[in-house]
Amino acid sequence: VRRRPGDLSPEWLRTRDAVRNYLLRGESVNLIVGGNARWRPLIQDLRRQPELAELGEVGLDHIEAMARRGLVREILARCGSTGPVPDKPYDLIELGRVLKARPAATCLALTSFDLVRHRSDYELDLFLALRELVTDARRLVLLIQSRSPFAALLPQDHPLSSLDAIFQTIELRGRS
Amino acid sequence: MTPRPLCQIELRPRDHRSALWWMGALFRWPGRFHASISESSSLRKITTACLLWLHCLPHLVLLCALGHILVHGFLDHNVVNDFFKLPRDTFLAEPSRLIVHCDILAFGSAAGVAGGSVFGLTVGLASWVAFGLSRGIAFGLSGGIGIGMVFGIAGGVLGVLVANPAASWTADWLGSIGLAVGLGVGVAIALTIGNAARLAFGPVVGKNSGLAAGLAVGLVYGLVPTIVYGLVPTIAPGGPTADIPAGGILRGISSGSAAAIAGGIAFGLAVGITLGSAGGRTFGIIVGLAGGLVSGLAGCKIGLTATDLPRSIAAGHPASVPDSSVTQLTVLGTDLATASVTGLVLGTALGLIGGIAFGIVLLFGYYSTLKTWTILLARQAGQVGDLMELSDLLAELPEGTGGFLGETRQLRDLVERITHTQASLNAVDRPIFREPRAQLLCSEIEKFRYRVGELHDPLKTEFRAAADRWLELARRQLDDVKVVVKREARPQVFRAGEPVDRESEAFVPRDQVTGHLERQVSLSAGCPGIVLYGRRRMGKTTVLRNLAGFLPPAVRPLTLSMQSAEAFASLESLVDLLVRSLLAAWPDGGPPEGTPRDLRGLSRLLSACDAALGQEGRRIILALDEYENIDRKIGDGTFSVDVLASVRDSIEAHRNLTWVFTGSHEITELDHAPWTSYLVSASTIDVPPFTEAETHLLLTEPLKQSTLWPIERPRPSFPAEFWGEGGIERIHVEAGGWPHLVQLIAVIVVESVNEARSQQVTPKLLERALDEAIRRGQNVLYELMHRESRLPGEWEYLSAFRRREDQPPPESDDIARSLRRRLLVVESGDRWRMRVPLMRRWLIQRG
Repeated sequence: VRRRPGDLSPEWLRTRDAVRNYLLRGESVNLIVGGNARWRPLIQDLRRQPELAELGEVGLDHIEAMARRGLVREILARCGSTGPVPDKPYDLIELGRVLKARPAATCLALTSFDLVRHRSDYELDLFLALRELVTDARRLVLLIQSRSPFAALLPQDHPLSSLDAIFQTIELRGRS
Repeated sequence: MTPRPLCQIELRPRDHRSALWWMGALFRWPGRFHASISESSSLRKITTACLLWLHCLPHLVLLCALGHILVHGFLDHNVVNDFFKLPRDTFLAEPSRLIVHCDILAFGSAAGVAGGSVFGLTVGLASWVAFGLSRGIAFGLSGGIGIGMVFGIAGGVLGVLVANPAASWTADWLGSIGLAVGLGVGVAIALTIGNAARLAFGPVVGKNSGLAAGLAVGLVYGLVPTIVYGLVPTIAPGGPTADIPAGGILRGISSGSAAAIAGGIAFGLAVGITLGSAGGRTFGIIVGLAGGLVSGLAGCKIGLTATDLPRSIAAGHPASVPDSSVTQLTVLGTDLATASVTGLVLGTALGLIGGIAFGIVLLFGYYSTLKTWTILLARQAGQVGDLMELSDLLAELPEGTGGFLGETRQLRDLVERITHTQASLNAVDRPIFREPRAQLLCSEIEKFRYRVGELHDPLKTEFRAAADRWLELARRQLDDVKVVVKREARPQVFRAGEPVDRESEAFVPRDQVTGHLERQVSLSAGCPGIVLYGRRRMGKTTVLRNLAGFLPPAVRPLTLSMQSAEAFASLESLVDLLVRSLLAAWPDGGPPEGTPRDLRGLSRLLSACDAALGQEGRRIILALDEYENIDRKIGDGTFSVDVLASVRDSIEAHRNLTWVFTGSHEITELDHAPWTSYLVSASTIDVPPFTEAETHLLLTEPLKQSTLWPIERPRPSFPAEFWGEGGIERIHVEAGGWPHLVQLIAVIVVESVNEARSQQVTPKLLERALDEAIRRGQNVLYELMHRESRLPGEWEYLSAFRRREDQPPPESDDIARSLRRRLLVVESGDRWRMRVPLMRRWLIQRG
């Protein structure tokens, strides 16, 4: 993905810097993308920062990530772990084990997160485990890219709706 | 000359000089050779090795021939034979003699080529496995060439015995041969081992290994044949030719023994010193003894064969002439079996002695090798670019009981503290917290430098020099972080959204909560269980995570998050997690044997733990954070209600264990299990919003509880003036003391002040920060206001605060109760208004 001249607009740069600063401080970010805003170059640009060079990216639109076990496998692969992933529910234990064994917190971008509405296989447990890794264990720093705010992606009675409180919300506006 | 690149060498005449140049480079600059070949493919590396070997082959044969001609031709013709009073030879004069000499030459060359090839291939393959293909090739080639020379010389010498059996009985003559062989073998082995060790472990070890191996092997190969062969004529009754059977036996014994001892010691020294110094003393001794034994056996066999085979060849050779010698050889043939068996037995025994002798030699040589190894490691440690590498690097430091070897463990412990401090520095990203850690790192290294001065050399000298270099690295990190801290006018220590770590983030102790908790835990009759209840983002997990230090030393808190996959994946994984946590906090005396896998086993373990705690007067708090997830898991069938029954039994029976359930729901709100019947006596402790005093303390002295800064050193603080007149009170009121919102506003205020390069918070800046807070806090405010409004009409009632500051209470008692419980409203007579102005601001602007 090449960067267009428009990507260097002050707002785009400001957004990129804000995201970078939060991630570097170990705070997770919900990047809300509007219109045709160029978010892929933004993530690529982040990766050019030496401190974020290992920022992994897993797209929920990838076929491998449709099932929870596949998503876990993709995340682990971004962490350099290519071993077998156990079946549910132990896949999440493996995820936690690998991330907690890493020397530093793992920075990971989950893109096209709006599709989480259609990923019933993820189940609540995945979000619980992610929340624990982000907040309690502090072994994971998430960059969630979505078109709707995270809070709006979970159903009203979702027991894990408080998960959204951990994200710093940043908007990247584009021409619609 | 400019040689053709190594990877372009082929088997053609114009590449011959380059091939020889590279062979020279292999011995002169092994590193350069290795660098040149390391980039090639595996196939190319192997091909190059074979081509180099083939290019060298003619020279090897030529060398053997020249050596033979020199020793047995010109010198033998006029000088040697006269000197030793041997029958005069007519080298090149008689065709039959020429055939014999050609035969000898062929034997020597064949021995050289075969020995070199076998050794080179073996060493090369072994080194390939151990060190990689390119190093394996280097080892194999250098070893092969060296051993080729050895076998070539040895073969030539043996050929002399074939050609002139009568001469073989002359002690002086054989002694001279022994010395020559010893010299040749010693030099060749020294070259081979030295080069290999130099390539593998560096020049210092290479030099020492080569020298040690060369000297020892040279002595062994030189002296042993000299002594043994020299003794044969004397020992044999009646002189060398009188008693052939006895002489045959002695020759068998002596040659077998000589080869066995020589082989054992040579192998032991060569492999043991080189690999032993890399792998440790035990490894070296084991390799040496084993190698000595194996090589002794092999050497014995080779010795017997080498002594007798040429004679057999000579006996059957048409050009073999001396009558007496033919007779001797005939008789000798009949004694061959006896000689071989006896030689084999004694040779094996002597081979063992050789192996043991190697062990002794190794122990003497070991100390100096380890010293060299230590110096090498210290110098490498001084060159590291990242102090985190030190632990792994110095793990290879040799240990022992005396001298500097007895101090290496102490040195490693000192270095471990440095790497630990560097790790803690790396783990922190905020400059303000990096600075004290970087300072600590510098002082740790200075301390190391001072303490290492008390150790023996080479630790003292070498590691002092290394510490100077480390100090440079640490000071550079400190300078870097100081620059950033200086640029960052106000350190960002506030954090919203995650449980706070009091070491590095703004934290205020919740004395009211911990005091209540302490009283409950200390009840003499045991605590009936506690529900630590608080609204979302109220700081419950922060309270739990920072309990240590605010409770009596006899009380140890254990916190398990029910959000952890290990906790909720299955009942077995929950039991496993609880067991592991308990075992990690087990009182002195050690836990019982066996690891429980089910609730029954867990109950037994809890009982044992309770008893052990009682004996020591200690207590444990078992806190389950986000305990609502247990209810959810009971609902979906992952857990059974037996979990609650087990907890109830523990609460009733174990006075020294206190169960704490933390969540944002009261047990009456959970509907998948009858929680109230299981926790009927549990007391509830509320985690309330901050009091104004707590907000004040958080904003002015956010790092008061951190232990990163020594007491005598000032720590970052924000005087009340910084927040502007009435600023702290305004923030407290706007956030309603809600910990998350207080932290959020503080984060934005500090950022804004730094951005504006201001010294103080102005009312205008604070107003802007509040607007920014509702934007950044969108998710939290949406959650607290909208999503938690689950009753019909509840959200509509709250929404009405957009239009007016206060309104009458809701008509529904359920809604009124819910809003009170959610801490969203305050009652002022018959009017209600929102308790948290920031929430109303959000409602108006974004809700």
